Amino acid sequence: MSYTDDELEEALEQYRRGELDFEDYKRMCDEADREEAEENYRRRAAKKRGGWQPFVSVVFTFDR
Amino acid sequence: MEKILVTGFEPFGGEKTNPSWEVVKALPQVIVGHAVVRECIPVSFRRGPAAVLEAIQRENPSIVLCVGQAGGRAKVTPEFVGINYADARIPDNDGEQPQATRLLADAPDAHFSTLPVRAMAQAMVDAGVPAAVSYSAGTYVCNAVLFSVLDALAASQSTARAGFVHVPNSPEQACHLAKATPSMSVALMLQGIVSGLECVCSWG
Repeated sequence: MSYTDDELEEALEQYRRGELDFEDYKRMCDEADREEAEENYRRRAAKKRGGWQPFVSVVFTFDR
Repeated sequence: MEKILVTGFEPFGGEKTNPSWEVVKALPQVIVGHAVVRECIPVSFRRGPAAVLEAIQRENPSIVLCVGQAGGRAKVTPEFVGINYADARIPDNDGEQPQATRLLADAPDAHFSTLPVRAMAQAMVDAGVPAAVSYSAGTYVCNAVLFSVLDALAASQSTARAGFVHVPNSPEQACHLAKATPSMSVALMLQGIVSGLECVCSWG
């Protein structure tokens, strides 16, 4: 996510205090929404293919 | 933490945006101790109500507020009643255009909103937002969503409260419309919806 919930909440407070334009706040919301929509799309597409793995984490251990 | 489910609609009728979703996107994450859950729903007589009911099942909210666009209105309008009737002037986004028909065969003629609509409208006005109670949610998808949600909650004896608020066109939309149409900035709509929800959350 480009913006966390806390960041969006803080941006809303800044807008309410007059420190941020509404359009700037809205742009942040739009970006967060777009990323969420893309994430949902990927999730649905992966489900259709028969599986969904949200994270693939690989841990490398080096012997020195 | 209790949840508020707030829905907005995707664009329809050839528009590029729908102010209902624009305003829902901009809502705070928490309102009076309630977590805000958002859902963008399709402008479809079949899929619209189904999407809200699915979200209700998934999220188990204590408050459900659906937001829709009412072109031509100058105020934010909490809806008093949903009726068991559909009569579409234009096709929905699935190409369906039900005309002069009941929405649900075995359901009552109407359901009243279970939100305090008069108090909500007053709270909005107190916050400086033009608002008034509306006694008709129309006969398009907005009304279908309101009626279907109220009917489902009543049938399941749910304690969740639900209702609908219409918002005017945004200035961006009004600029591109041929005829003179009232509009309201999304920022002002946001103030109205937040004030209305604060009122609902604080309402006994």
